[in-house]
Amino acid sequence: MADDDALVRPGALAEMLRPVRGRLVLGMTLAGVGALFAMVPFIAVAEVGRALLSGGAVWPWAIAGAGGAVLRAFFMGASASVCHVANGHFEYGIRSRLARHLGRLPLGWFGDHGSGEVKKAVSDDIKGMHHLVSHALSDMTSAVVAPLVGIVYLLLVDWRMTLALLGFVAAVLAVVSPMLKRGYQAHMGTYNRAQAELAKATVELVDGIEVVKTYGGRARASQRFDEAVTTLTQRCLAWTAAMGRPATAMNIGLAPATMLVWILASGTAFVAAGWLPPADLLPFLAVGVGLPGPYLQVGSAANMLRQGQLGATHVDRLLGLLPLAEPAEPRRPADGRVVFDDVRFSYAPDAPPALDGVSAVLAPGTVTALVGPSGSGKTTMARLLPRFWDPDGGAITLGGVDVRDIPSRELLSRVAIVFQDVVLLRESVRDNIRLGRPDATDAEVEAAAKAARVHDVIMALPDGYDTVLGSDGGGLSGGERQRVTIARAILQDAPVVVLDEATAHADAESEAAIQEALSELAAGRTVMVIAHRLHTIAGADQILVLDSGRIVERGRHEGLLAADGLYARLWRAQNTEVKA
Amino acid sequence: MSRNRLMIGTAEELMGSSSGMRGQIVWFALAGVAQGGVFAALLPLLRALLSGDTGGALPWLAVAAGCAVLSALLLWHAANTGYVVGIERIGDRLARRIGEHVVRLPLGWFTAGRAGRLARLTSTSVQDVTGIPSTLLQQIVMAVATPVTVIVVTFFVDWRMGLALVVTAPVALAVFAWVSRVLRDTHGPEDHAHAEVTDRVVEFAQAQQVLRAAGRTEEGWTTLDRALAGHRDAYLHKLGRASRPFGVYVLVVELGFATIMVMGTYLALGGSLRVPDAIAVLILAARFVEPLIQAGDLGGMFRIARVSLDAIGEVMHAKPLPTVSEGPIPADATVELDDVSFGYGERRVLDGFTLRCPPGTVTALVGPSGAGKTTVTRLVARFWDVDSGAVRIGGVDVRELPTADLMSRLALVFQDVYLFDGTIEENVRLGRPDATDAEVRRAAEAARLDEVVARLGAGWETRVGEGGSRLSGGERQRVSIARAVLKDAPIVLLDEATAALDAENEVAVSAAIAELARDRTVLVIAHRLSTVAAADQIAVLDGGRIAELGTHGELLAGGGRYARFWDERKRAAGWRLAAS
Ligand SMILES: Nc1ncnc2c1ncn2[C@@H]1O[C@H](COP(=O)(O)OP(=O)(O)OP(=O)(O)O)[C@@H](O)[C@H]1O
Ligand SMILES: Nc1ncnc2c1ncn2[C@@H]1O[C@H](COP(=O)(O)OP(=O)(O)OP(=O)(O)O)[C@@H](O)[C@H]1O
Ligand SMILES: [Mg+2]
Ligand SMILES: [Mg+2]
Repeated sequence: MADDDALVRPGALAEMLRPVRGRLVLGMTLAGVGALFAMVPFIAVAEVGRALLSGGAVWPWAIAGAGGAVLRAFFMGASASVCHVANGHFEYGIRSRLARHLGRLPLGWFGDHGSGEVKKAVSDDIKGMHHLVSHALSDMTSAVVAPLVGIVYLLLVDWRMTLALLGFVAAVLAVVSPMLKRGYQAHMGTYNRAQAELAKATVELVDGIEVVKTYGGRARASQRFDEAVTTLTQRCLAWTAAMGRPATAMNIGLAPATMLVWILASGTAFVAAGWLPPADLLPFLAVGVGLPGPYLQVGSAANMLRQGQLGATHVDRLLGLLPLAEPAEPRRPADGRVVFDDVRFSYAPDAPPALDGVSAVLAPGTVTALVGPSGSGKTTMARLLPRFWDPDGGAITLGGVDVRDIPSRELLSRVAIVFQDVVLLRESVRDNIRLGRPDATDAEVEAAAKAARVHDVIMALPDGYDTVLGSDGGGLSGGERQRVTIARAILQDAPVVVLDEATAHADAESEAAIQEALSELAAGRTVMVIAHRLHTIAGADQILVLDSGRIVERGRHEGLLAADGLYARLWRAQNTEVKA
Repeated sequence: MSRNRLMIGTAEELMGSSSGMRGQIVWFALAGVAQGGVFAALLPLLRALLSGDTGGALPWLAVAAGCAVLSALLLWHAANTGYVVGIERIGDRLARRIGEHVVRLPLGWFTAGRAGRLARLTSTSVQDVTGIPSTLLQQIVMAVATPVTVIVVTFFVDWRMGLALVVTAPVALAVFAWVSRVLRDTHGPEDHAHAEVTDRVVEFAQAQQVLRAAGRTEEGWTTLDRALAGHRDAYLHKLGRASRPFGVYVLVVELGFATIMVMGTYLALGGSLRVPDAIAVLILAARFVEPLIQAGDLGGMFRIARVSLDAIGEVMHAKPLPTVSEGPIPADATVELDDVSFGYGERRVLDGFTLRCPPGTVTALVGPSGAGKTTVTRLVARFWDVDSGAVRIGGVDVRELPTADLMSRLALVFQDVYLFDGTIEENVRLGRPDATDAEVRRAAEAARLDEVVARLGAGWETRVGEGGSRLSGGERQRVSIARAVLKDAPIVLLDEATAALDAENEVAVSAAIAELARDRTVLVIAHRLSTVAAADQIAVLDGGRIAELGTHGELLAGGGRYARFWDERKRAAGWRLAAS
């Protein structure tokens, strides 16, 4: 990763800019025309001078100069507006495209990269391209056009003096440019990474704030934050040492003041040598002094271009990641029957298998319970069903169709899941509950909340169902949060329902009530329940006992107790405790 | 200028120290004046050269060269210190201060969406500010200092031309202020909209499972789309509003140039202005148009830096919980809540809550979901301050204890486990970074984490992923228990610490906790009555206060709330989820 971060795939940028290409071409054309007019006032000043000295016609040039000034303002302004508007549309388009794409990647990618990487791509990289789209392209156009016009004009005046001028510019660039380029390549990648790392450390600092507070300044998160700041500072300093000095040197070397001194010195020599009539020095003073000016801008524009390309490359790399394959010949599941057929899966090639040959049939209208020690693979089984990951071996079918042959939209609409980890979005309670069915009516939302025994709690919030969760005053207790996610699943009204430790944080009273509601929900559906509190699943039609990724026992409660295996052991562990 | 100083003041207030920016301004101004000297030398030089007197030009050439060298040296010094000042004194310092400040804020500040916003602040906004003392100040100060110098010199040559140079200045300044005002009004909202994008993107990444399950990644998560479109609109709005004043500004500057052009020509033709002087002034006027237009742009960049500073300021001005640096030493590990009332907002959660947990005992806190159990632990850890009453540790009010002191006495296991993206070992060691390997292993055994470490491929080096997402629910919980055990603090608060554990692990961990309690004060919150029954005292929380207090036997015999609770649980135990 380290070095190819700085590598830019040439076509990446052009491809991404395609949707706004028309606007950009217009913007660049306007900038080119503007650059033409931009030279007029300078040339006019020189010609007015020459005319004053030689007694020629002065006013035409004076008027041209004044007019050119106004026209360049117009064209440059128009160019900037067009490019900025293009950028607004570009940023929006590419961000939504990227978000859609990321949502189709295997879930494991998020586990490996984390929200920091996503934030960097969607927020920062695209912001990096902003300079490119709105400034760099038009700046570069004028940086090519304006000096060209200037050089042609000066050559017409006196080619030797022009060469003396260009020679000086070339000499400065020859010294500085390689330094700039080297510095850039060496440091941009590391700088970008340091910045992403700090962003990530900040997210952790906030998300883990309770832990950070408890473990004080020694906490890993504070430490990592500190380290990230230090690294970024060092990177910045290194980058400055490599880039800042040459950039300053270039700024000084090509500054108008420096150019002026050089032109005056060489011009005086030329005049003294009799090579140049004094009046012909004026074009060089008026036009030549500013000749490298646009190049200074190209310098910074080139940086923006690189930064943009870097961002584009990163974004392009993400867009190039293969999403979970959509079926070539999509098929529709017949019903809610779920079959695991010798499913094998591990989260990483070198990790121990999380599922190791799991076979099971979950029939519609029945409840299948998954029990077993922590880490045995229960949640994993639940995750494979909606294709958060694909199995390494074996197959999972829904309604007789391999889940890989069902279009994701169809598949996801058929499975409702209550996750072990409660995740609520920073949206109104109402929107949180109807996440899976955005068109649900308020009455339906309330009915689901009542079934999940969380309606009263919601009504007590400052704005009831419109309270934004996580906002000031929009906090809920652990159990309340969990119940909101249950309401969400109830509302989704899908033929397959997966409940992963859905009542782990419920008190006895609400647990009983929720279970009742869930049983109602379960009627006619395929239900998969994962639970550690065995009494909640003792009535299941089928109990699968998982251990180290394998199903070691299966059957009904009574049968499993009689078999006196792992299930019986777990049951006893729980019930000897719960003797009253 | 006054606005700049205002900004520097803000920056320094946030940094709590001198920013070094004033020094930078002086250096850049000096460099600008020296550069002005170069340009001013053009007047006598042209007089000499255009009359063919190259010998008379030489002294002035020497003056120009001298000024150029002086300006170059000043600029070199100022620019290079500027980078370092920006990076070390401003960027590094601000980022660290934000980090330090944020961890001292009350938990109530950490509403949802903070993570993304803050990450943007530390990684992007701080970087915006970092560029001020080098690039931004340089360009803006010199864009002013150089022309002013030249104008002063011009006044000595010909007051009418001097007047022509400044005549548009008041207009330009007024329009400049207008640009600035519009940007202030429109850049803020744009920045806000971008912050919202960042937040939502982080949320999008962190809530992937839920969003996918709800089909949102397929059909689009409207909230994210809204944020993206909102940013685009704010951006386009800013452009629309700012382009007019900015265009007017450019036009005013260009018209100023046109005036000089026409007037210079007129005066020179009329013979009241010497031709070389007229030419020199025209050349200089043409030269300064561009920097002045750029100054308009720079004004915009100042605005952006200003908005960044304000955003940082908003965080830095949030009030931390008042802390003391020295306090009395608690007599022992007794935890006492005395007539405590507390609410997160309007609604009271605790109301006259009184509870005493003596050292060497286990107190179990039970009550319905949402009763306020977690809130009690938060008050003990002083994540929030009570509204009335007091929380005391060993007889000392927690508000009189330095934060570090208080935290060193507490070990917490939270209801929502949060792990930092690192290895299992790093996460456990967080509890006590200087613990020996043997101590770490012992803590792991107590929490039954040893089994997990043995099972996972990379053992202690297993990476846990963002927030711990690459471990199973129960594994994560055991890491956080091990962390708390390792901390070896006299007071242990366990909030649903075993909710995600299977029966066998729960028994083992509960036994370890009981062992822990022999010489500590333990407060457990549990919905599983098994954990509760063995406690030395059971507190039943209802309606914001302790409804009952006693041992398991006493409370059962009392036939009150707890007895009903117990019945309920037993009924729930007999109750089964079934699809019939
Ligand atoms: N995202 C992940 N990346 C890598 N490994 C994972 C990931 N999620 C789980 N694992 C590992 O896979 C194994 C099975 O995990 P799973 O979450 O399925 O367990 P579980 O049976 O649900 O346990 P629990 O009862 O604790 O929730 C565990 O060893 C776990 O560490
Ligand atoms: N951050 C918060 N902001 C606002 N209200 C909150 C916040 N956290 C909790 N609440 C409210 O305070 C009350 C008590 O919450 P608390 O988390 O203490 O309950 P609990 O007894 O721990 O419940 P559970 O068993 O469900 O975890 C609840 O009604 C909850 O809605
Ligand atoms: Mg699980
Ligand atoms: Mg709680």
